[in-house]
Amino acid sequence: MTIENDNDLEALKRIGVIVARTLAAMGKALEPGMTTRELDEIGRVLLEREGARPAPALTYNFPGATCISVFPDIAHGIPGDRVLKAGDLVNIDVSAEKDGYFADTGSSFVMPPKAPKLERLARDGKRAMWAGVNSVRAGAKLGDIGRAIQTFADREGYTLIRNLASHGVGRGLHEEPGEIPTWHEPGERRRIGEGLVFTIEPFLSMGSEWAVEGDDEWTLRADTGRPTVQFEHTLVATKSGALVLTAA
Amino acid sequence: MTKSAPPRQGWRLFAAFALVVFASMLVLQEALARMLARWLAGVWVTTLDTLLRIFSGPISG
Repeated sequence: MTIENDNDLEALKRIGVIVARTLAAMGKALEPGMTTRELDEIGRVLLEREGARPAPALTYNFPGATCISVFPDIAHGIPGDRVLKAGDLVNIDVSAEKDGYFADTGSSFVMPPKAPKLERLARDGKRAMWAGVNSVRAGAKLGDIGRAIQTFADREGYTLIRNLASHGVGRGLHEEPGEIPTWHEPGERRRIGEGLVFTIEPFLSMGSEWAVEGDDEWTLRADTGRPTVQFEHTLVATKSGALVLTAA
Repeated sequence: MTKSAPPRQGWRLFAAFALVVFASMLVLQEALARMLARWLAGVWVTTLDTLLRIFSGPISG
């Protein structure tokens, strides 16, 4: 969506803070021995307490309030009986709706004891996302986002998953302008309109470039099985840069 | 919740399309050339036949 008035912005800020706080709380709650279903329940309770509805279930009948993916799964993991272990690489994706407005955020967490290579990957995954966020400006090209992220990934020796994209969000979970590449795509010449609401969520990997189907109809894995992280914010494009809506 | 992006293969599709068009033009050109050659050959035979009929005298038996 494109923001048309102050009410739009305030409503998006409200749901942005809700999903951000839910994600932060779920990250803090991570501990060995708990199941991903128990972790999801924490998220569900927090969202419902704020009067928000989980977006994946609302939009796609996803069987969970949040997406929880334990490596080698990288996205759209279904919360279930999987027990979390020390050293696991866990991705949590929280998206929700309140008063007709949607926001979407996500983060990868390395559970202690942290393997140095995973800790570095997680740190750089966040830096890759910020490289994209910092390239946003109303009037710039959408392709500038992917180019900034790709430049960072190339410089640091990483790859990017090239079939999981960012997207427009606001009045729906996935809406116009559709998929936004978080990798360099020379043909991406669309311009960022002022007030455009969208996500930036690169998947930074230690060698994978493609997401493939996992064990069920939802879960996605990296093609080569190399460690992969994702960090995500919902933001609004302004003339002076990105206004991040999902900062905790 | 991330969005699955269809692979962007625009340039590959364009290249494939250009290749098909080029190959079709070659095939068409060859077919046209054959057709023209057949027509010219037909014209030549007809012309020669007509000329021979005009200028040839009866064959003495």
